[in-house]
Amino acid sequence: MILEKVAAALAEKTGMDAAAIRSETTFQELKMDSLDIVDSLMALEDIFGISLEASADMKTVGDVVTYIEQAGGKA
Amino acid sequence: MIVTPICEMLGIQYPVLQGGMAWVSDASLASAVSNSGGLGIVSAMSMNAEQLREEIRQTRVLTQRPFGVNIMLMSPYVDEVARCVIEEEVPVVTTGAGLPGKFMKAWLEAGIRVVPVVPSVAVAKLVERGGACAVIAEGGESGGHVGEITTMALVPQICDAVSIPVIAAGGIADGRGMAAAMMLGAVGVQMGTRFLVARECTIHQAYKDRVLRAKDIDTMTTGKRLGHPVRALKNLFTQEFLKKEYDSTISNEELERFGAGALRRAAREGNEKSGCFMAGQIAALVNREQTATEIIQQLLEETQQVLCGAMRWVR
Repeated sequence: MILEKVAAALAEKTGMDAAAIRSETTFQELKMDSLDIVDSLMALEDIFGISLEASADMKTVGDVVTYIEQAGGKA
Repeated sequence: MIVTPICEMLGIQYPVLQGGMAWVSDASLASAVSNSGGLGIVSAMSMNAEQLREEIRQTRVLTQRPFGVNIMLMSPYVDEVARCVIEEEVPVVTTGAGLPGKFMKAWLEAGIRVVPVVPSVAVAKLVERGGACAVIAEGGESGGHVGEITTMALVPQICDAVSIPVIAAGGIADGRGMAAAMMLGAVGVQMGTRFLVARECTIHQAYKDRVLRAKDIDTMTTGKRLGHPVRALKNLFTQEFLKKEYDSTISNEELERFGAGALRRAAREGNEKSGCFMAGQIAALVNREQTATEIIQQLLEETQQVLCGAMRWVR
């Protein structure tokens, strides 16, 4: 599942428990700033085999999941 | 003299850019830097399209050479400003405070060379893929809005990460800094603080005087709590801002309101009490008012001397 893989990647970056990272979790709650978000998205590119547009504007983990689904990311 | 790939790419004589600084980088300064062989940059700051258009047209009255516009991507007028640079056929756009992806297609189709200011490797890779022709790797030594990573650490990492030319910024004011940037892999430099004291820079004399008498420890950063730290010369305003920042009873909105207009008060009014005198850590090396031509010529002569002497310790 895309959400689980995204949660695992964000957990590794933030040190938080992956099980606590849900679709509605915000990046603010994860204490990630804009550079952390871009850095994480680049790592997710490799995991899901997608390319990112340089204008991604995401506030929650769910936003990232939706973006990956729309970009054809493979679960 | 010093010639690198960025010269041909941007149509300039020397690989020296003048930073886009709000309330500072107007037609007067930008045209002087371009006329001196570098790339002058007009700051769009929070201007609307018509205000920017006027500044661009005034720049064209003063210089026939290439110049750039720096677009602050968090501006409420960013969409119309992004269209304005196309309409006015601005040759180079630099960007800050965000990712320029939304505007890249239109800018590239218009033939604009886009050079984003980047604070990290991931952002540099993203903008390269988006079509940027070069990046400005700006370290935390710089004045104004700053990132965490220093120029010394950031520049080589970005040089490793991207194939496009890298311009170094932050903590550079003389030939030693430019030579060092080139040894880190950069093919050009952008300076802000040094150009604050250019004769053609129209800021209040009090601001220039503050820069001219600055010492190494005279800058501080504030605003980290708001997510956009700013480096400026220490004064009553920055100290009061920092005090409020650490006061949890003061909301982020109140803090933003306290800071609103502070740079304008410094740059245009020279208000030493309530102005925010943005400047980089290298301000202490900036100790003479000069013309833009003198600044650039001195910089390049020093850089050449340093580069030519670089082998002296090799046995």
